[in-house]
Amino acid sequence: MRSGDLVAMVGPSGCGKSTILKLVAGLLRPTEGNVFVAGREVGAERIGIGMAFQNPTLLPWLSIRHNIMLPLKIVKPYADTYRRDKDTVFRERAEALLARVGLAGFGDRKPWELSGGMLQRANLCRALIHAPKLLMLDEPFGALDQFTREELWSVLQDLYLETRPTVFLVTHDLREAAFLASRILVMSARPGRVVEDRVVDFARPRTLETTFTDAFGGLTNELRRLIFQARHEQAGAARTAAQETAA
Amino acid sequence: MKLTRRTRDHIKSAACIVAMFVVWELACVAFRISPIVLPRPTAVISTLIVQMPALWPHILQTLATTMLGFLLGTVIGVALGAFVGVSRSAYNTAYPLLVGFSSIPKVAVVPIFVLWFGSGTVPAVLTAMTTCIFPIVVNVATGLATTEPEMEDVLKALGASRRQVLWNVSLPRAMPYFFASLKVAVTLAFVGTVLSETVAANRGIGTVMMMATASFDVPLVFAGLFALALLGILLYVVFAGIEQRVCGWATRKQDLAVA
Repeated sequence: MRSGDLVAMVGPSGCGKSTILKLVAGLLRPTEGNVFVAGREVGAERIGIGMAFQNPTLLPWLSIRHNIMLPLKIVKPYADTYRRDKDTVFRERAEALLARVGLAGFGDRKPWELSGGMLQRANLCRALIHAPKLLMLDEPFGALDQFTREELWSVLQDLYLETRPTVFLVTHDLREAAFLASRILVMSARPGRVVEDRVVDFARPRTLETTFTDAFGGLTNELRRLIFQARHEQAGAARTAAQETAA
Repeated sequence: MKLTRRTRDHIKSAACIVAMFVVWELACVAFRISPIVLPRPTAVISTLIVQMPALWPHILQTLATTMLGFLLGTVIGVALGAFVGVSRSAYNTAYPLLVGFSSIPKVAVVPIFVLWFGSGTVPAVLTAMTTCIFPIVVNVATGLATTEPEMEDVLKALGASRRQVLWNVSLPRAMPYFFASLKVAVTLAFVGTVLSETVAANRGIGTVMMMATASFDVPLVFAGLFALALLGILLYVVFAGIEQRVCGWATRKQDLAVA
């Protein structure tokens, strides 16, 4: 992956998308081989990755603002001045980011007072507040309805274009991948392999109009076909294996 | 007058409690139960009021003993619970020991404490402590051990140390469990104190009840019981109030359908 890329990874469930994400984030250790981020092996040095899961996992005892400011408390250099800046600079930073995702004025609310879509917006803020060089998103919009999802695509794209972090997006929504990514990796399941590596060069900023173009439709259809093939081969392999055992 | 639903609910509950005492009173009168067997609630309350000047130092003694034992029990319980909840091997080692220890009737432990420290306040404090430790340890350990891995993952990906994860996620997450155990523990601490006082002490409500039983002053025994129950309720309410302030998020979370 190149720095500043937005790479989406799609594939049938169980192909190891989330595992790769966790390996890169240093949450899992590889059983074999090594993982390198920015030229350094993962685990050797923490680099403060921004992360958002499908489940918002905001801490229910903190207000939305304090939830969002959490990375600033952990990641250096922010952590060093957290005590001094938490009510001034950092607070404004959190409010500004909240306003960007359409949550202005909700900073003092508690997570249980917000809807699923709002929580996911806040979750995005938390992943971005410390301006991470690497952003890991694991089906961040998976639990949302289509309209909210499409709205948040644009929000995410805006934020991405502003700071240009390297983004690693795991998703099973092909339109989401095609809309957001500058590069799409298609994976097959068991064995988990990258079967297709494709550059997406629609002009940015992309809008919902982009998704109605023939090129966009063609891309998503092609991706769908690739995944279908990957699943088909997998099912075929499983059948052969079953026949062999039966014989 | 229009009452809110909450107030009406409260009135209903209060009425039920009063009704229970009324039934008790009426049953005593109707079946001509001797006050030596079961005194009427009115007799108990009047004894409690009349004897209050004499009872008061004993109540204070029992309260102080209980609070000291409860405080020690909380400190040790939280430390043990944190230890057991964080480490797998500590969990496996400590759990059987704890279950075994908590299965021992505390009556059997009091003579040992008396043997070691003499009769009086010390064994009462220790009994209160040992009685209330178990629920605290179990709850704190459970709270720490059941933290959602995703919550921790977000911090770990940021490069948080174990201590930071514990401080920012695990401990706050365990707070509702901790407070739930405190409410149970404080009433258990009373049981421990009074138990020890009835066996080996010369002050405290337990002692008063022991002596009253010996002289068949049953209304006084019941007055002692009432005093204990009131103290228990009082402390329960205090800790429930603190709980509501510190971790109201945990009870209000029920409104939230999306987790």
